[in-house]
Amino acid sequence: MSTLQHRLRLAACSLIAAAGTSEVQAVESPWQVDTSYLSYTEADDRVSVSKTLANLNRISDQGVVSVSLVHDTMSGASPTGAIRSSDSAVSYTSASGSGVSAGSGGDYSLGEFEDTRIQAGLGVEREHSRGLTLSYGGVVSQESDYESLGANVGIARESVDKITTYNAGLALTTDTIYRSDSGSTPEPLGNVQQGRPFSEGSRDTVDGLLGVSRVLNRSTIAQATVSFGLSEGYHSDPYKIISAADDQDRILANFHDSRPASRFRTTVFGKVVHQIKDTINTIHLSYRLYQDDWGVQSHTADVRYRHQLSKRHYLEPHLRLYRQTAADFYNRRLRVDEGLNPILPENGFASADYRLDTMTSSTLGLKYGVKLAASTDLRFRVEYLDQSFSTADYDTNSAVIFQTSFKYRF
Amino acid sequence: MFRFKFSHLATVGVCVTLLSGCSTTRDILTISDVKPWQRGALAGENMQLVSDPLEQGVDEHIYFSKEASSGGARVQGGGCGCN
Repeated sequence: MSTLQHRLRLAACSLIAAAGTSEVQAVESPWQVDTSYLSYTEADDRVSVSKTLANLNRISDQGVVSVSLVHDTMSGASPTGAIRSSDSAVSYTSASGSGVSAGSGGDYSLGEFEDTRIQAGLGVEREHSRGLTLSYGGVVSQESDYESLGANVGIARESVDKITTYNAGLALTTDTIYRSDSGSTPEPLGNVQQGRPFSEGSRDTVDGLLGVSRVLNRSTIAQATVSFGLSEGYHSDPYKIISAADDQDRILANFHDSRPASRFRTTVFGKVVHQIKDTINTIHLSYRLYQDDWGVQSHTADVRYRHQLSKRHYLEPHLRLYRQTAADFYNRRLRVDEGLNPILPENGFASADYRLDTMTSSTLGLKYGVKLAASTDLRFRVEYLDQSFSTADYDTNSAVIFQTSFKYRF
Repeated sequence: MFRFKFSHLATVGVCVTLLSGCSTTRDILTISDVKPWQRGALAGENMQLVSDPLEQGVDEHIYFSKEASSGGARVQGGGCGCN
């Protein structure tokens, strides 16, 4: 038999097999539900989050409709930005009955909080014509001090030989931000003891993305994307403060967090998925370069290796490495002059939020997956997150993440 | 108590990459024409660019709330007042 005949026969067989699979999928298991429970627990009784998620997908020949629900309960204590010192010339109090209160004693560098968040999303992916797929969706999120409403559209075009796919996406988000105790936001860089409450804050964001993915060879697929994000409005954190202190860290005043009213973010992202030769083990490698006009630049590398223990069981070690530079307006404290008067920044922007500090972060994790039946998957994963900050008073943060997920097709 | 540090993990990552040998790197970087009947390996769930959407969504949310960077692989919108 000639090579050409052999290939044609193989092609015919694969087409029949592919069509058969699709039909079976459409008729026998058009529904897929993926549920998950996650706990995120930081060391030293800091932030603790319990998250419950459910994704429901309806798969048909025309496309996919998906509904997602998320419920979070969050509690604990988060660094306020205030200097970690009990030597203070001022006191810090928050409104009684609020969900957030200052730490006890003279040290109020940690703010306790308790909150619940719910999120619901809807997504539709539809093949408009041969090789052209359109997608659109929306997401709404609500917590006691934050509301978010988002919409997104996307388009993907596959080349005739199905080797390359080009895609573009656009998302619009509008957020409303306020303190849960007052229903308003404090005056940026206002003195905490004299600060005037403003109305609730609002922020609008547009995100755009251009991407391409390509089959490189029989066992490798690669993806590259360029994305941008522009947000306008209230960017400060209504709970964060920054201390004005002398060289001995004696706090003389506290001011509310103040950040620019706009932010422009750009991202370059690349990913490769590869099946190791002569095995069914796979490796996922990705890298992201991020930069924004606040002075933050970051590098993120991520690698996952799925090792199939058998056809039903697999183990997946995960390593993520991240490092970022500090925002231009980040400072551990505001300095004071010889008369012990706070020196406020000329541009009016100052934040001691540890997340805007120079940071290195690493995550090490392990996932175990098992196929219980043809239509049922179970996954468990545990991850350890470790963060180090350059100048923040709380210069480290670590957390253990545990997630268990259950997927069922019917 | 031993604490994982970026430098430790970076060293481990480099070592693992070196130990995995050059052949895998060569396999990844080899670009060849792939016919439809040669894509069996690419169809598996573990070969998808996003193999676990639920996990990816969770991770994006965690890192969005703990780091100054966000975005990259997709745009979807939605925010939170995360601590």
